[in-house]
Amino acid sequence: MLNHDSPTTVRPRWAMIIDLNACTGCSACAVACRAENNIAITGPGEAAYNGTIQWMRIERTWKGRGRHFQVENRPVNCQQCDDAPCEPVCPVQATYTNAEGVCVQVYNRCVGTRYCGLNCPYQARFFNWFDYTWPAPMEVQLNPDVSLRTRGIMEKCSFCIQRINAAERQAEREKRPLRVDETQPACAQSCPAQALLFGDIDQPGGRFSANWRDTGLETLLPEVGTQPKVRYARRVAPPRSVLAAVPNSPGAEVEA
Amino acid sequence: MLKSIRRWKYLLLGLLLAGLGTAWPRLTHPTPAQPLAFPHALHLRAGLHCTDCHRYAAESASAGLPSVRECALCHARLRTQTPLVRKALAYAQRGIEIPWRRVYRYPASAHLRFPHNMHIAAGFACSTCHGDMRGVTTARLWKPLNMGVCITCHRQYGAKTECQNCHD
Repeated sequence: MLNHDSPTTVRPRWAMIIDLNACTGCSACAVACRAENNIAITGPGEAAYNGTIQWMRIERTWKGRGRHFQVENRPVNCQQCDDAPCEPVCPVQATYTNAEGVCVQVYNRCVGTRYCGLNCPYQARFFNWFDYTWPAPMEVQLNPDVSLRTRGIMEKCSFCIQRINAAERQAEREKRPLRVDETQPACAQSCPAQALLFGDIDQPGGRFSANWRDTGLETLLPEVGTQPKVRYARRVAPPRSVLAAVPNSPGAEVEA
Repeated sequence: MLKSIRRWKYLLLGLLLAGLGTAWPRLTHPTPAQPLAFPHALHLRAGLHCTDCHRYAAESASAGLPSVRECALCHARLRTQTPLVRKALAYAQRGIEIPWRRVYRYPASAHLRFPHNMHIAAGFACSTCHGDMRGVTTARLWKPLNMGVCITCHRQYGAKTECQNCHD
């Protein structure tokens, strides 16, 4: 892979922790993502063929019955896999994991074979079947930092790489290292419950890297072995045998 | 006799290829005719600097094209009677912009962003890509805009060559 950067510079490795207990399923992340990344509205005709483009979506699941009924909202974007199934199948190397761990999509290389979309276990890749347009007043809110994808191009969540690039350029102009709290994707910025945490796994002594390392984070579809860099945090109730041994534990009434 | 013909043949072929090579950027990206023959040379000789008119080059991704109202700021007093200035002032009075045609441009399929500010912060002069404008009226494509030109310079100066650095 082409990388002419100096080997001495330490590049961050971006990742995201999604707190399932904090997420209320309000879809602010999905809306913010759509606005930030110029995501086309494909319309009802396309939607009938599962042709909507949604880099960030909320997957809702129901669990339990009666008073144990629970709704779980799970925001799902591109999981930014370390071992991404989409990458080796691309015949033109239009998608690869860059030096900062972001699985990037290079639009100008993409020839639209759609192999990557078929190989993605998370259905996080979306194909532009047509040239989509924005109805009259909406084109003024397009983000000038993000290119408009044309027909025949695959697209997906990029961890808002235009924001990462902008922050890195700003740091470079000011001749200082990048601070990891300097950039975050639109979804994390817009989340009112702060359920989406964005940060650098390799940051020494950082809160995010400590959370990433020490809390038991779950991955989506662990059996496919993709090692995603988007992971989910969930408060897990301890088993009943443990609870019984702890008198007056706060978790006891939850499970009882 | 036969040998000399063969040698001439190769010389001619070489000349043809060399000519095509130099003419290629002009053939594929012809310099468009502008609505007004703006004399860059005159303005630079008068002591103006590039960023006096293309004023966002140092701060922003795009260098910026001055509005015709900015032309009118100076030319309300200066050289108001020359034909070119009168043409520009007519645009200003009608309240419409001069329909300049872009010279340095990329196809939309390149999905490319060129940040002027980063290149100026790195210490490059405008003339590195745009040529010496002191002898030029309207802008012409001085450097062929293809990825080879970009990448060669990025490698030479140790800049990033990741795809997403420019194509995002």
